[in-house]
Amino acid sequence: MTLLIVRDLAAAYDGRTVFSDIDLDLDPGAYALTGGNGTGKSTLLRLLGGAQRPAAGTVSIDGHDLVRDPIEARLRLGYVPDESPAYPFMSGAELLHLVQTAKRAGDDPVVERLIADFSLAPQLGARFDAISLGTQKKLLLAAGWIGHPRVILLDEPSNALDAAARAALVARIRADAAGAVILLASHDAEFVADTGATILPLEIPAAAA
Amino acid sequence: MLKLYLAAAPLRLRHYAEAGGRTMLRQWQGMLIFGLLVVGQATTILMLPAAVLTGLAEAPTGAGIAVLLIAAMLYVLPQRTAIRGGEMSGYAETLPISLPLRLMLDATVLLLVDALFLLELMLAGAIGGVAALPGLVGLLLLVLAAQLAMLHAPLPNPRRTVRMLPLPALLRTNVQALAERPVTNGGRYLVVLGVAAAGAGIATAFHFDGRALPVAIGALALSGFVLADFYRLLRETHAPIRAFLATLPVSPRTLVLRDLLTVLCLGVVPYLMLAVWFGAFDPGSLAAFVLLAFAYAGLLAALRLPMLRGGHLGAMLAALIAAGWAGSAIAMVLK
Repeated sequence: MTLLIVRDLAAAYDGRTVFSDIDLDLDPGAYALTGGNGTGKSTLLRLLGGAQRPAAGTVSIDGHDLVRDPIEARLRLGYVPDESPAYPFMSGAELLHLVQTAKRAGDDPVVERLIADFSLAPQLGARFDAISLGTQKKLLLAAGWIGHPRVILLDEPSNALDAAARAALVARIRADAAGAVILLASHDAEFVADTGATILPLEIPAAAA
Repeated sequence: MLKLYLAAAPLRLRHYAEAGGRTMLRQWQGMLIFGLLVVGQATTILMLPAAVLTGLAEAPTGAGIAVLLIAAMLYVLPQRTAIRGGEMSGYAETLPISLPLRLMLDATVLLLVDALFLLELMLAGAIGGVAALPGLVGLLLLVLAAQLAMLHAPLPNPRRTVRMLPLPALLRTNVQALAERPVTNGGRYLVVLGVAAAGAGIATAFHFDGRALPVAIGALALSGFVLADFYRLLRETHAPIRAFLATLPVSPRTLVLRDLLTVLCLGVVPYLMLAVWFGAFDPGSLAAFVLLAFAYAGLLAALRLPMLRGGHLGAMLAALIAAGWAGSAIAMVLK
């Protein structure tokens, strides 16, 4: 059961091609994109999440094209960016409520478990600009799991996490990899090894403009 | 859909209030100050646009509607990022939010952005009565549609153009920083050039008589006042790296000198516009312009202090300094 299909994907900034001709067919499992800075890992995740329009190519999430059938595709998608995208005045609870409403999701024991494992409860009412980077990351991770996504995209998920949260995240990825595609980009080799993620043999060609 | 709208709309409105609220506040302040300055005309200033809108609603003309739509689109152009939700808009793109709901959320924010326009529409309704209402609603819908199109239109990237310019190293970073807000800063600089052009035009209308040079000095003072705001913008740009720079073996004065040089370079163009124009039509004034060059540079440097240290009174202090400078310079010229 292939959940993430990518064909001829290309990204460009200001007319400069970052990468092109990316093809992927991923069945459920954990996968890790590794590589040096500037190779386009975060860009690839943004494209797969629909946060950025590709210069060319198609992305299909659990059988739904991200451009032609965006709502159905995004209902099956969880995206956790590296940097917090939340408004500074927003609380963690408001972020979770927004994502939950958008995904038409009810109470979710998996998300509640993540909130408990990350010890987030005392921080849920605090403004985003008043909480640490690690807590922001935990909230985004919890939001990423809302709605039982079939494809979860994690950009540097272990950044700023404490040891307990890191262990909880590894356990979560291991537990869910059987039924979903969990694609992460990380420089943290130990974390990637702990998750048991398959290193994708993905060489992104840094094409010239 | 309603549930999601109710969850997202307050966040979008609050974000705009924090990111773009200052612009709105300035408009209302400007309206108030303008009304107070033009004695007895406060009501007229409010009612004049409303009367124009009433006329347009009752007897629409292509040119009138085109002007309204262009003004409406230019109005949202510098605020595109704030209106679309800022940094969070990228993340929101990954959520299953339908296109109609996204447009509804944009339109909701636009209604707040267009509060002054809505006030004028209501006044227009009061003037025109029920007969004008369909036309006024039509104008509102047209304006919203044009502004929505402007919010999502792909625009050329001036940052890339600036990056390719062969700028000296001392100016490169600052110019690139200003190019990060191309519409706001470009618009501000166009105002500066417009003031200089207006000064030259008025001096020509005066046939370069005794009033011409004071007009040029007034134009320089006003352009200096507008340029001084770039000090504030550059300081905001440096804020994130200031702590990092403090750890490097770089003199803290480096940034100050770069900012001064940037504003002085920006000030050269309006000065040259006036000096060349006067030199061509009134060569006798060139000696005064040579002296004015030094005085103008002094004014631009002096305006940095009130803009950065004056707090809430900064703009007013800068206006007083510019006015004082203009008065002194005119007195010297007339002497």
